Amino acid sequence: MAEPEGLIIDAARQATAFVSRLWDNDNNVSDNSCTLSACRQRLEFLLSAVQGHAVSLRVAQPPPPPSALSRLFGRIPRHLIETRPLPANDGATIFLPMQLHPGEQSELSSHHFFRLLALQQAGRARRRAQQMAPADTLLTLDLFQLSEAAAADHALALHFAGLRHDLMALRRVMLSQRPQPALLNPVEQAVEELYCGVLKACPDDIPPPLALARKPEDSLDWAVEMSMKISIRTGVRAVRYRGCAKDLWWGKMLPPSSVNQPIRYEEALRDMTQPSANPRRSANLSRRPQVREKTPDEDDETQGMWMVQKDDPQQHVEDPAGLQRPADRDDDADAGDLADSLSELPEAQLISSSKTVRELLLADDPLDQRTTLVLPGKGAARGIAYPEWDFRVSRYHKEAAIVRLQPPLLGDVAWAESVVARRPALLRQVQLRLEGLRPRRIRYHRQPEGEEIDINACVNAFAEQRAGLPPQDRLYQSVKAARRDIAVALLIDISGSTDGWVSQELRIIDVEKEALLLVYLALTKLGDPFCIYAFSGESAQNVSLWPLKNFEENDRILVQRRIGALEPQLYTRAGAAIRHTTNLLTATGARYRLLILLSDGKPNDVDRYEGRYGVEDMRQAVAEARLQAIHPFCITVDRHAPQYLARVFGARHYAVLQQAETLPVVLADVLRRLIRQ
Amino acid sequence: MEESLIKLAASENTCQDVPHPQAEAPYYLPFGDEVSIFTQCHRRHLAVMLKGPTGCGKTRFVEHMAWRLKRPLIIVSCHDDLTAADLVGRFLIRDNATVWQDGPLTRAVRTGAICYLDEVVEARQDAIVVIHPLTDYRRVLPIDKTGELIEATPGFQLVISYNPGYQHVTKDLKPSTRQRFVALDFDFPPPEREAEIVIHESGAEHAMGHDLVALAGRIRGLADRGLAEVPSTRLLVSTARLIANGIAPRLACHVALVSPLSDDPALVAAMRDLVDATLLD
Repeated sequence: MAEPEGLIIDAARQATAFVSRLWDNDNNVSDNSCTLSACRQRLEFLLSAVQGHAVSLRVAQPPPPPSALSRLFGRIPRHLIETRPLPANDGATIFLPMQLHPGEQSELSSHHFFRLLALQQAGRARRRAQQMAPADTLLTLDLFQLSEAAAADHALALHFAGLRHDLMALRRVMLSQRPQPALLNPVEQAVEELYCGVLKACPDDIPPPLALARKPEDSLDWAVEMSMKISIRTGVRAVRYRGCAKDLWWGKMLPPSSVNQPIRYEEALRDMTQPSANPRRSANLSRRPQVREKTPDEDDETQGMWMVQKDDPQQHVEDPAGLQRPADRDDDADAGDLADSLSELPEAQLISSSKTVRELLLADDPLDQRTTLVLPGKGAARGIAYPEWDFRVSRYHKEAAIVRLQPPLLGDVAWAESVVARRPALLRQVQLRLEGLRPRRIRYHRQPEGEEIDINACVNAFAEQRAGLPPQDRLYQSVKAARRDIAVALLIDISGSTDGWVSQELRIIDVEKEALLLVYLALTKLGDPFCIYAFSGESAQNVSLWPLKNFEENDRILVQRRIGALEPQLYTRAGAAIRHTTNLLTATGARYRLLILLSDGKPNDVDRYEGRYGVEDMRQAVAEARLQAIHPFCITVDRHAPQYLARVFGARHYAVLQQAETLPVVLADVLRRLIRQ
Repeated sequence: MEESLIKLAASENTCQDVPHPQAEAPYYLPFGDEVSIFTQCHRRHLAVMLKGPTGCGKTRFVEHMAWRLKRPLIIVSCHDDLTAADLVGRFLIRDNATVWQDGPLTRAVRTGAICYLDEVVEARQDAIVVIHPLTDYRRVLPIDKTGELIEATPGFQLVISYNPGYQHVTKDLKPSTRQRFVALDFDFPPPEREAEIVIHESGAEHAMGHDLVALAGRIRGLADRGLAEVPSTRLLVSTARLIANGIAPRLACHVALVSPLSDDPALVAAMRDLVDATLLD
């Protein structure tokens, strides 16, 4: 006879195993081909084509788990608890869930499903309804969103006839997932009826009492009027509208995106020079909390009435003052635990610090980059002054920017070898692309002397002689290696933003370094003179340039070590760097001169160089280079580059990399295209 | 004796091989004042440069203008091996005699034709310099081989086309050449006109023409995202012709519109998505 205690423990174990099996079944992740990452790039292209400008597509974050307190105080009914990420847009960016439920793929393939959701959100983003969204009651807001979504679908069906079938299928799937009417109160039932009416209708019909809203204002008028009617019809003003269960069709309307301002560091330079004593820890974040903007009354001296905290406090993640997190005091803290706790927070304030990073928490949807790192050694070299263009007064500021040539650091010898060993296929690809550029042997016709007789020239000369013209002496042909008069300068942006991650183990700077190394190895075989410079800096007085390879330098090991030592630096004052490189190129005296800029974003600096000033100065520097018969070209990983680079470099004088990993091949392609005669 | 032979040959080949305008007007839908500007240039003996992307109707415009002005038209497609002799002419040996054979440019100058040099930047520099004395007040063509100085017949007009999109470092028109021309900028027509052109040229249905143009407009939005060449009106016409002849619309777009434009798998997939979303089979 078993002890009662043992029976209870056994029963608990069995129950746990059963629940975890159920849980696993519910959450079984379908294969990778059905996730958003499989078709993300393709969808981004599609959205760019439809919207007419670059659109960024990001992973929608799952909702935070509701805390016990918020359930208790908020009284959220079960059917209204969000269990999955929903498609959303903030007017500029489109968010889609990472994966779909298996049942949803029965009518539409996952790719068709994602395509439809993306186009739906793009259509809603185009209407710019965010600005008009009513803030008074939840009922009006939901009705407004319903009317907007129906209008966006109507436009979609009208402009993309091929999507009608997919739209119908999506509506059918969503209809099958609606909650039981018994769970709803009369007001909610009225909204649910309206929603189901939309789902049952054809996408190019707007079922009454909804009306086609030409613009968001119409939706707003309709929503206000309809909420009044519903309140009157249900007759019970006391019934609270708790919301409508949102699904993939309904999606989410996020507040308009706020522009992130870059941060400036002044006081913290010294912290950066201290090497980190502890190794970095890393873990994956299952979801990233939203960035919480500071509210105006947050730091008020007097405390208000509403101090009850609905969410569970996460004291081992956050520090209310934002000065030092509990994990900062504990060297043995587990990064995985920290990631789990952080994932449960609905939102967190973003605090930037110049201190060394202690943990890397990787999320599907990382924050926009705004960090910069500083290395010592600024101001060490003698400066060369360059003018700067001020678009506001349409003239140059004399000696406004000082370029300082820095002695390049030397990296590990083994780095270059390891890259070559790791990426033989990529090196081969780059070499193949540049091989065709080797000065070929060209047959020169009609030469005064040569190895062979030029038959065509002889026949011509004979005919002309017969016609009474003086005899020709250019009757030979010879084959010689063609002399190509080209000089190439590669200018690399190593500003702080190149510290951004492009994949699990590569940062932008790593990709840049690998590309530089591979292209350097391939270029040396061509024999044309070329130089490589890296640039960054802080303020107009300190634009740093690191010569990695001069035109005349030939020491392979030295150049490789210099490339290997590149690390992200400060800001991007591109104008001065371009002017200096232009000078170097002009001094070569080559007939064709190429300046290729590798960049990762807009020019910026601590002072007025931010924004239009920087872009205009860069544009002027590029125009000056053109006047010196230099052909400038820019390769960038910034997806928003077309908005400003077309003005700076001119259409077709820049390339936007879709995947940073393809940089070596694209760089080789650009060189080939520009050099080919 | 030889001199008379040469002259005879020269006067003989003045009237051969010069295509005269057809009876029917080549279809061209004007987008602005280009017809009246071209007419005035013709009247005032000014050379014209047509700038614009490939397949937007430059050659068709010249054909149309030749018909309208009732001038013969000589078209030379320039390539990187085109020398001055290929334009001006050369001595040939024929039946134990040496004969001077006019090149297309000389023929146009003699007969008063419109000479259209297509993609002129492709030609070698020495070939381009030959046209200089024809494009200023002199309007003469010196032929050093025969020692002739041919004065252009009043109807002669030089037209060149040039695609500013092709970026070759070593290939561009010299400023001294560019300044000799009146430049007409061409671009893809606005959607309604482009649809009208596609429908007229292909015989496709009205709705299909409009759908194709809407599709092309969206694909052109990808120009900044890695698509080297955007779909031209000519490409749309070929696609519409396939559709008018019974090929299913989506398939016709895949083979005639999407595949010729790019080899990049992601770009091609996105364009196919656009086709599937825009057109019904």
